Amino acid sequence: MSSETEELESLANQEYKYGFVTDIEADALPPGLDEGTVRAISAIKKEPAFMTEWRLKSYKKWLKMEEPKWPKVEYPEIDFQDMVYYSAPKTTPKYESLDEVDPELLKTYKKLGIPLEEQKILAGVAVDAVFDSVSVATTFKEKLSELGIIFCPISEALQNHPDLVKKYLGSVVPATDNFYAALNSAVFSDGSFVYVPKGVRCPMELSTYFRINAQNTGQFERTLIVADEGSYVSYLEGCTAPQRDENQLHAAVVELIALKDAEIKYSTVQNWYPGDENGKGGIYNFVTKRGICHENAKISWTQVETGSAITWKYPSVILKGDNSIGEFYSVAMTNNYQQADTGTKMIHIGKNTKSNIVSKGISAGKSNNSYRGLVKVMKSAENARNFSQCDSLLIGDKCGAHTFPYIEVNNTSGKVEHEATTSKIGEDQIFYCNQRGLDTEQAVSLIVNGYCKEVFRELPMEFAIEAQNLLSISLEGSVG
Amino acid sequence: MNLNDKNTEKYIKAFETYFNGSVSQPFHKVRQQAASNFEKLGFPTTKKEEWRFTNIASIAKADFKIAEKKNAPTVSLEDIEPFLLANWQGARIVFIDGFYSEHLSDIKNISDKITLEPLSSHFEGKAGLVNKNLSKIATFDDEAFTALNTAFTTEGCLVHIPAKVVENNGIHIIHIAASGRTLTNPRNMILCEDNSQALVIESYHTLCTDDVFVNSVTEISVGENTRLYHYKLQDESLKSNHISNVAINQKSNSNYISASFIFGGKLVRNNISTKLDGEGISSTLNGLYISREDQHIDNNTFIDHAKPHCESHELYRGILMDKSKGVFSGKILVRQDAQKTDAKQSNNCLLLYEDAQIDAKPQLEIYADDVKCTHGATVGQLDESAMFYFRARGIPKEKALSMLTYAFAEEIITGIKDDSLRDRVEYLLLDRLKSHQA
Repeated sequence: MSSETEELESLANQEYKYGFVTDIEADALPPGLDEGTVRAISAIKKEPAFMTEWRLKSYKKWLKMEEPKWPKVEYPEIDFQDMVYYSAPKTTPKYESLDEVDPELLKTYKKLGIPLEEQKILAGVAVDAVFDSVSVATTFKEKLSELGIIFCPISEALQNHPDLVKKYLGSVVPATDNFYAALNSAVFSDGSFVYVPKGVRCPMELSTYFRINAQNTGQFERTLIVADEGSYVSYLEGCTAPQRDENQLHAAVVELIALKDAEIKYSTVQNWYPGDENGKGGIYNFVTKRGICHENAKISWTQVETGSAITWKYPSVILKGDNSIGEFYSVAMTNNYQQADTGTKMIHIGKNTKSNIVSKGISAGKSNNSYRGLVKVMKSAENARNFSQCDSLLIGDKCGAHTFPYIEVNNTSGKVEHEATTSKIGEDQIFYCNQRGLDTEQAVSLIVNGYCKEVFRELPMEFAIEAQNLLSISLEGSVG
Repeated sequence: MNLNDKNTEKYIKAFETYFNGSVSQPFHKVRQQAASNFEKLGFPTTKKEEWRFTNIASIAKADFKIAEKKNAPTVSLEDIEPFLLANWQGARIVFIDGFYSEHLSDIKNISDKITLEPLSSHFEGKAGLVNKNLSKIATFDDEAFTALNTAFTTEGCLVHIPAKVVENNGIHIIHIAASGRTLTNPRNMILCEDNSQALVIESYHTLCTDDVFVNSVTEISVGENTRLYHYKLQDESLKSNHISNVAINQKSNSNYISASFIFGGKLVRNNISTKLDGEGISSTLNGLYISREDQHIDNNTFIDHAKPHCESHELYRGILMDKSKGVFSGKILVRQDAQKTDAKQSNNCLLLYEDAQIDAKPQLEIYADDVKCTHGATVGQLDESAMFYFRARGIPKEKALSMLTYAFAEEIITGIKDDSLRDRVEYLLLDRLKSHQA
C-alpha cells in the first residue's frame, strides 16, 4: 500500500489550480469599522433611510456580541479593525453586451472556466456575477422580468423594490442571530435578491459566481430569495478565489423564504482558497444560511464544500407550515490543514413535516472535518419525520472526522432516525477494482464518486460538471 | 453569586466538621483535594455542554444533610427482602446510607481469595490496595459530583479479585438510601487483577418516602485477559435524585460486559466512562430504562479508544411514558494510535403516550483512519402494522402493547448473564408496563 499512499499523497498535494490575482483597481474604504464605516457603505449604496437605520442597529448589537467559540475549529484571533469593509471595482458600469466588459475580468473568468461568453448560447443560465462586491454583469434579466421574476443585486432591489426587501430582510436570520450575522447585517456590501411571483416556475437555473479578489477585503454577501405561493426556483452559487497569503474573512448571510406551496432549491459549490500545504493563508468562511417553509413548501440545500481554510456553516430549514419538507445534501472535503465544521438544523414546527439529511465528509492530510447537526421536533409537530445519515471517510492517520448530531424530540408521534459511519476505503474494494484492471487511482476515484453520488445527484446539471471537476482536483487523488 | 454557590459552600462547611479521627488517614489528603475541587467547580449548570439537557438546579437548591453513620436507621432483613434477588447463588454485601451493614450482608459462596468488605478497613496504614487505587480511575478534576463523593468517602465497598481467580458465583452490592432529606455518597471499588473473572451486580433502592440525593461513584479496574460482568440496577423511589459516575479502566485483552437498568429516580444522571488502555480489548456498555410520570433520565457514556485493535459495543434502549424525559449522549473518541478500532453505538427510544420527550446527542470524535465506527439513533413509536397484526388475532390493545414493548427491550434483557437478575429485570419491566395500563 505504500506506493499507493505516495501516489495519493502527491495527488492530494496538488497546488491550488485557481490561485491568481486579477489586476483591477479597487475603489475601497480604508480599513477599520465604526459607525462611520457603516454609514459610508450605506451612503455609497444610496440606500433608503430604513436600511441605514437597520445597519446601524445591527452594528450596535454586534458590538455587544461575542465571537462564537463552540465550533471545533482553531484559528488566530481576527482583528476586525484591520479589514476593509468595502471594495468595488473602480468602474461600476452597466454593460449592454459582453464586449464592453473589462477584458482583464473576462480573462479571469475564462481561467476559472466560467463560460460567460457561452452563457447566451448555453440555454437557461442567467448569471449575476459578483466581482468582489459589485455586480458587473447581469444577463437574461429581460427574459426573467417578462415572467415578473426579480433577479438583481440586492443594492438594486433596495432602490427599486424597497418594500419587498424591507418585508423579508432579516425575517429568517435576524440581525441579532449570531456574531457574524450581526456583522454582516451591519456591513454587507452586496449580494443577490430573487423574487418569484405567485404560481411562476422559474424557467432557468439562477446563478451567481462570487469571487474574493482585493486583498484583505472581507466579503459580506447578503442573499435573499423569496418564492411566493406556488412558485419554484433553483438557485446556484459557486465560488473560487485567488491565492493569497493572508486570511480573508467571508461572513455571508443567506435567507430563503418559501411561501405556501413554493419550492426553493439552493445549490452551492464552494472552492475558495484553502491555504497552502502548511496551513498558511486561506479563506475563513463563516456563513449563516437559513430558510423558512410555509405550508406545503419545500426547501432543499445542496452543497459541495472543498475550499476554505475554515468552514463554519449550517444551512438550516425552519419547517413552520404543515406538510413542509426540508432537505440537506452535503459533500465536505478537507485536506492539509483545512478545518470544516458544517451540518444542518431542521426545526419541525408544523404537522406532518419531513426532513432528510445526507452528509458525506472526507478528510485527508492534517485536516479536521466535523458534522454538527440538530433535528428538533417541537410539541406542535405531529407526525414529524426525519432521516439523517452522516458518513465520514478518513484518508491518512493525521486527520480527524467528528460527528455531533443533536436530536430533540418533544412530540411522541415523531419519528427520527440518525445513522453515522466512519471508515476508510476498504482494501477489499480497491482489490476488487484492481482485479478488474482498474489502477488504484481510478479505483479510488470510482469508489469516492459512488460515495458522494447521493449528493451529486441532487445538483443541477450545470453544477454537476463543476462539482466533478472539483472532485478530480481535490478529492479523487487524495482518497485512499 | 447565586444559590448554587451558596449550596456548594454549605457542603464545604459540612466537610470541615464531618471528619473526626479519620483526618490522620493518608486518604484524607485526597478528600481535602476533592473538597477544594468541588468548591472550585460548583454544581454544573445547563450552560455546560455536558449538562445542556439536564438541569440539576433542584438538587443544588435543595437542603440535603450529609448522611452520617450514627444517624443511619436500623434496617431489618425483612425490610430489604424485596431487594434481594430470588434464587441468588452468590454473596451479598449491604450498605445503608452508604455505610456497611454487617448483619444484613451475607458473604459466602465465593472464593476466600476474594476480598469483599468495606473500604474503611483499608484506610489505615500507608500502603495497600485502597490507598494505591482509590480515586485513580474516577478522577475528580472536572467532575463536580465525583469530587463531592470523594470528599465524603468513608466506607464504600471494596471488591478485589486477585490474579487467576475465576469466580462463577456473583457478588451483589446493595445500596439503600434509608434516611430522608439526606445526601448519601455510595462508593464502590472493583479491582480485577490479571487472568481473573467475576460478576458484580450493584443495586440501588430507597427505604424512605422523602426526597433523597444519592451520589454514587464506582471505580473499576479490569486487568489483562480478565473478564468482568458488571450490572447496575437502579430501582429507587420517584423522589430520589440519583447521580452516578462509573469509571472503568481496561487493560490488554480484557473483556468488560456491562448493562445498566434504570427504573426509578426522579432526576437521574448516569455517567459511564471507560478507557480502553491496551490492545485487543472488548467493551460492552448496554442500557435499558423505562420512565414514567415526570422522571428525567439522562445517560451519558464516554468510550476512549486509546490503543489499536479494540472493539466497543453500545446499545441503549429507552421506553418513555407520561411526561417523562429521556436524554442520551454517547461519545466515542478514537485516538490517533487506535487503528483497527471497531466501535458501534446505537440508541433507540420508544415514545409511548403523549408528552414524553427525548434529547439525544451521539458523538464520534475520530483521529485514526483505519477504523470502523458507526452510531445510530432512532426515536419512534410502536409499529402500527405489528399492532394491527396482534389486534386482528384477538389480542387486546394493552396486551399487544406490552408484548411489543417487551420485544423492544428483550435484546438487552436476554444478554444478562445471571438468571436471577434477568428474572428480576423482566419482572420489573412487565410490572411497570402493567401498572401504567391499570
